[in-house]
Amino acid sequence: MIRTVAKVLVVLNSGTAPGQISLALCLSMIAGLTPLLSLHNILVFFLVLGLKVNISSFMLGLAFFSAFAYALDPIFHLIGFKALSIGGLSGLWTSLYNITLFKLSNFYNSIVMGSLLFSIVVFIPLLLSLNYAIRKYREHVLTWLKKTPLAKTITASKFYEYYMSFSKLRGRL
Amino acid sequence: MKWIRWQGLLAFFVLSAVLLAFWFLFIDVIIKRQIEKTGTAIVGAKVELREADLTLFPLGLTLYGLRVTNPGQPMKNAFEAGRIAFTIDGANLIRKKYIIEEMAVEGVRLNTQRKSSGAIGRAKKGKGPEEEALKLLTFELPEVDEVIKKEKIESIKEIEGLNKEVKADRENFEKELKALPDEKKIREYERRIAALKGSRGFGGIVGGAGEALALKNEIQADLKRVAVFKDTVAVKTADYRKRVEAAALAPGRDVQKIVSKYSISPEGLKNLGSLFVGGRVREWVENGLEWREKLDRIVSREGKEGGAEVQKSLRGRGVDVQFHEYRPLPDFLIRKASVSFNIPSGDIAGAVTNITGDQDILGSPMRIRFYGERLKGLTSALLEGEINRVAPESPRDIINFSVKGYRLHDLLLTDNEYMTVALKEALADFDLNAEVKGGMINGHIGSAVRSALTEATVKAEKNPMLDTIAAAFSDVKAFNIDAKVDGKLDAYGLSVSSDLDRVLSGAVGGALRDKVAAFESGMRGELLEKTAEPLKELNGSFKGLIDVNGIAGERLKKFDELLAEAARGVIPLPKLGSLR
Repeated sequence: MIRTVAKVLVVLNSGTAPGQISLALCLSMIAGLTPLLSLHNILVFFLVLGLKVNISSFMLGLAFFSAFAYALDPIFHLIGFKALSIGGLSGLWTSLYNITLFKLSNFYNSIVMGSLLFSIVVFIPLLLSLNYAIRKYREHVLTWLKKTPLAKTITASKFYEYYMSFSKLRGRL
Repeated sequence: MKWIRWQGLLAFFVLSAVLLAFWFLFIDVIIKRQIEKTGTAIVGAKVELREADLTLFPLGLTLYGLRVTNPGQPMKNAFEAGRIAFTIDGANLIRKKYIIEEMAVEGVRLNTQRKSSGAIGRAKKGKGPEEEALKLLTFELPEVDEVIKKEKIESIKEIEGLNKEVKADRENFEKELKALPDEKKIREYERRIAALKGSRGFGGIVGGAGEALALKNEIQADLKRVAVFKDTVAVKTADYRKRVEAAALAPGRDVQKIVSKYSISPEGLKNLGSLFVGGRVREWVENGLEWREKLDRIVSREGKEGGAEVQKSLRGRGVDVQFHEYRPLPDFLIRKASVSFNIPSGDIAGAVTNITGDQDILGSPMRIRFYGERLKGLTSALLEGEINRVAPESPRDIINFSVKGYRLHDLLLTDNEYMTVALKEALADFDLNAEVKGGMINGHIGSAVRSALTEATVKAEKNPMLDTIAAAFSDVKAFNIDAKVDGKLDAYGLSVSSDLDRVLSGAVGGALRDKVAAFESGMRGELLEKTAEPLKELNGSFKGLIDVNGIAGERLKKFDELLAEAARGVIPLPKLGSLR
């Protein structure tokens, strides 16, 4: 876990596109908040592996959101049950219920529906917020950190030079 | 394209393939464990499976060596099945519908011995009603004094309690009586009436009319008070009279209760044979009901809430809301399970149809039919049953079981701490018809045993009564047993009758009756002596209450006369009935 956190910090401080990190975190939110063994999570894993999103960020996000999910289950249950009980949507749910693919997705489970709805609604705002936050972090906090005497001393040292060379070599392997 | 990670896509497909291969390799073990776990939970004792084999083309499952422990006898299997094979509808399986058109269950054996216990908890073992009843047959009756010390004598409490109530009410009524208009007041009214009647002249008559009206009103008011009091006392007295009479009979009730607890009732004396076989019949009925309850867990469905059906799930898993299906199918269905039994007499074949928890969707009940004839040591056997949950709100179960010409070997009729009775050899016919409907059971069990070789062994030391019973049993060559089960499922009544009653009652009935009579007589004498003093006090208190009632009656009568006298000639006479 410490290694994953370190990797995320490295990515955060590197030139990786903010979208790669924020999309990874948003996808991890879906996989983490909804029951892991749900059909839609196959699509999530497919996207995580198939798109150039940051996998370390996804792993860290998955652990973080999974830990939260259990505590949020009662809320998800309420949201899901309410959504599944709306009279106006019963026709839609009934149609989906009779389609094999959707039956397999367990959408009729209150927690699956509640957590998925919550994740979808939060997805875009979270993606934009994270993008903005990463940019601001790099603009202000990282620039300031690089200018501190301690950072200057470390980056100027021979040891740091060797470490960076070793890291690049390890990355290629 | 710069957003696509080709190696990642490849990794995804490789990982999926690995997971599928892993699933296929271990699915047999997973199925085996799941069947064992679920079966054990349903049966309440170990359910074991030797092997499970899943095939994908065609999609099916074969189970080998299924053993289901008898929860009542953990060292025995209720049944074993050598092989269970079925194919499953793959298209419906994706929709989470487990539809099995035909299942073959082969090599079923009943009541087989286990090498190790199949209990999953501590087995329930209580002293059955049979043992309790048989204890009475030893006739080791305790001393009357000991019983009186040990038992709660309800009659003494009842009499003393009632006495307290009567005494308290009597004292209250006496106080109220003192506060009512008394003899002095009556004499005063008489004087005033006499004075009014003595008035002379026109002025006297006119002045007296006003006073007469006032006097009438005063007498009426007092009469009303006395009448209300008299009514209250009369009602209480009538109520207490009944209770005092009942209290006088209470010692007799205590005697009956104690005698029936420590000895055999007159009915029990007439049904001595049933005492021995009744426990075994009750055991069969209870076993049958236990298995019915287990089957019920398979065929009963979860509850419904509102329009959408809601399946309750564990905490943290939410609830599954089920919507209307365009082509409704049960979630689980075995249309036909063909079963072949291997019993010592040979093979019996049959089928169970429509095994499902959604009979209301299927529209058909679960049916059972097994038949075998001309078997070794068994002329014929037929089992037919129906478990009907088509209308879940009115469940109905029916079973008919008939066995003709069954050769019995070493069947224990009773085995308790006092004696063992076994049928070493016999030929038996057996019929059972039962219906469970609306939580009520109604059933009849009949059996006829002939060509019997009976063996009875007494375990209790030096008990001539049991020795006589054992000897009588040994002479029995044929007998019938009839049992009726009736009542609520959780508190049914079982009445067993047998012509063994006549045999055993003839052998020891007279001696047992004498012993019971002596015990009852001693107990009655002792209890009557103990309750004599409290009963005397109760009668004294009640007599005091009757006296108060009498005085009130006398006073009411005088007031009635006074009012009539006062009204004669001068005062308009009121209707006496309206004052009561």
